[in-house]
Amino acid sequence: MQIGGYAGNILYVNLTDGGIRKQPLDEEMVKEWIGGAGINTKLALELIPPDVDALSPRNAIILGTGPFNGTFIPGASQTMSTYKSPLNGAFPQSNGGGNFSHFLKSSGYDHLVVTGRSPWPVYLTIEDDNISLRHASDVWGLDGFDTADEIRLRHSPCSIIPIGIAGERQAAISVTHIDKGGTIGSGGLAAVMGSKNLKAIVACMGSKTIEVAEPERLKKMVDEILQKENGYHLRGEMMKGGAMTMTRDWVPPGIVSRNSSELIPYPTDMSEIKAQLYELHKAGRKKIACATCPMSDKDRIDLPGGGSIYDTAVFMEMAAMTYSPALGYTAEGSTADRYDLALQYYDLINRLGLDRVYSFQGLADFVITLYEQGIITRADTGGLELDRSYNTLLKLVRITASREGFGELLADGVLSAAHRIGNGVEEIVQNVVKGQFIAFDPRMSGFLPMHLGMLVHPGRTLGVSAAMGAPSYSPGWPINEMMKQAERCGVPAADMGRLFTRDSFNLGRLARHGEDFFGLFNMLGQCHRLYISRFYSMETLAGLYSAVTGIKATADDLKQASNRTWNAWRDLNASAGYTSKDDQPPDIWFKPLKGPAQEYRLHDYFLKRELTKGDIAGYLDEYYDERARN
Amino acid sequence: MATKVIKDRRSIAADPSKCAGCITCMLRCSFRIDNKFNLSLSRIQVDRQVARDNEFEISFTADCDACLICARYCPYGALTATKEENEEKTG
Repeated sequence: MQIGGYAGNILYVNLTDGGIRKQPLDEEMVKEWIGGAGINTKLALELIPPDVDALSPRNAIILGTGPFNGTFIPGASQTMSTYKSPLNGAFPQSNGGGNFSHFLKSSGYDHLVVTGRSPWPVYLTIEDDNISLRHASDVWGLDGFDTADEIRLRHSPCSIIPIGIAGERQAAISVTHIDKGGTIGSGGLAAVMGSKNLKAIVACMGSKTIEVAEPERLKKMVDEILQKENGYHLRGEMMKGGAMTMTRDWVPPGIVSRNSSELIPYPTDMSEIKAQLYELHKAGRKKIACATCPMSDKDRIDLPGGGSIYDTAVFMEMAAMTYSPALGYTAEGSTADRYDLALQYYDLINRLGLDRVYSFQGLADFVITLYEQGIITRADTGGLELDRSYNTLLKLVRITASREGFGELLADGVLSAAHRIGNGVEEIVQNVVKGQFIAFDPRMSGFLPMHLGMLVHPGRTLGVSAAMGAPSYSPGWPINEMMKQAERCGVPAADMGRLFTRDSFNLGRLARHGEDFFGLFNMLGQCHRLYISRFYSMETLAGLYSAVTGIKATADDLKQASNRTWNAWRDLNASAGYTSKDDQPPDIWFKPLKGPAQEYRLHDYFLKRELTKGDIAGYLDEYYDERARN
Repeated sequence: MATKVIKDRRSIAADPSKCAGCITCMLRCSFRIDNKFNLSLSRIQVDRQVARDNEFEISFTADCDACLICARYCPYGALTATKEENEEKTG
């Protein structure tokens, strides 16, 4: 491989017959699809039959890195996973951090493709040319974190993608973590691994070298980025609080509950409690960072009673979960005790491997609502009383992950559960698009670019990434700030007049450009969390790409490559049966959300104008029209 | 436990309790050698310790010449150049 930044090979592993094949990365493919999500999509189009059963041996797990992985570019940590999802039959693009991308490339592989099904439980180890399928019967049955610990004892230094119990039981709402921190595989990657009898993928430290085309230029550019990051006004506090620093004030007036029909308020004033929780969090937190990340948003938190838990990033709303009567409520206890309980919930759900944000929380609320309404009874739940307490929530986690009793009905997600419950329940499921919940109700926040992404794309990671950075995560930012963001994201100057007016912007059209920008992060192997991506522009990415690869690329060249990948990904999902008809917003968005003090209705980004279904249809039409442009 | 490497008058003190495991030091070290990235050739090695619930272990190979590049780029203050190096700079 003459192009810098690549290890130079794709590794193919067939679990059915143990076949191993190492194929050189094609240079033309690299130039066209760059890497990560780009090459993953290209490989998925070629390798995965669109009508294949997601849990059959013919499905493939494709893990991809990009040209930034293996270098010291800050935030170059991401591994992209692509597979056919057992949850919705689509092809999610789900990325995660940790050190996996660097370790995989250290053995000489940019991408890994796993097909087939092992006759018995195995885990895959990769160390240079030593590719081994090892018996996993002694770790089968362990949770994801214990599996990672046990395998690390045997193969350290390494990076590990294990599965927990939910993956073993092929729960479609399963997820997993890289190195006990970086969540990966929303939409059931862990279930696909389980269906293949694959307990873990282990990238050991190899001996291979990653060369870059212009080392001095790269060094200079990275120094400039680091200077900005070190000067970031929140960095000092983030070193103590991690991602919670960003969400420390973020406790909404209540939690959207009862099938998205009601805002259940906190019974207590949360302002003092928030401050206490933040201090507790900082006191017990040890920093964990993905490869090359200077912001350390992963948490290891020591529990007051001993032991510690890991999480990809504890947010304030979840730290305060036991105060909310909506889900996971505890009537009594000090702030420290309650935070301890919240962390134990995180720990359990992470270890067992369920997708909390986009599947489990909404699903738990849904079945509890059915129970409250008498639509299901103890006869349906195997004797389990479904209330909104903490203990019930933990029971639901356990039985769902293990498919035990009533959990068997829940393990494949809300649409499957509703179908199996019957009695017309399917018709009342709300706030679900393409089988997953919209995690941030737009009636509370205003309709943001990320909501459009969640309507359009199966798999939530890229849905969120389609936002236009910080201003579009919260409504009402001044238009000049949005314009600056658009320029940073590579919107051509000639298009600005088309996308912006003096006091507003075209959300559907702008979303396409946000996708182009953040899609590139997924192709390059770069983290797109706000506190990393804010230091990059399309111009910066193009400069780094040229310095690493030696390919002279402009910002526009990269934008075109990203557009190509988005369209190919759309084609991939179209081949699985998805059309624009699947983009329809949930009916509940157009009904008022009842809160204790007010009703919340769906409004535009500036919270000035109430939106109708016709408005959303307009955004979608404009999005697709803009996407069709070069 | 802190690890210290001393070569000539330069020294690096390592405090694993501050390490977040980002392996920036390893990438900087190997890059400094020949402008290439190779984790296995890095003269500083960072690994997770399972027994201590993922505390990190920092070690230096025998051929580490205490060039201090790892300390210069550690984002978390886990690696620091100690007094001898400062004296050399100012002296």
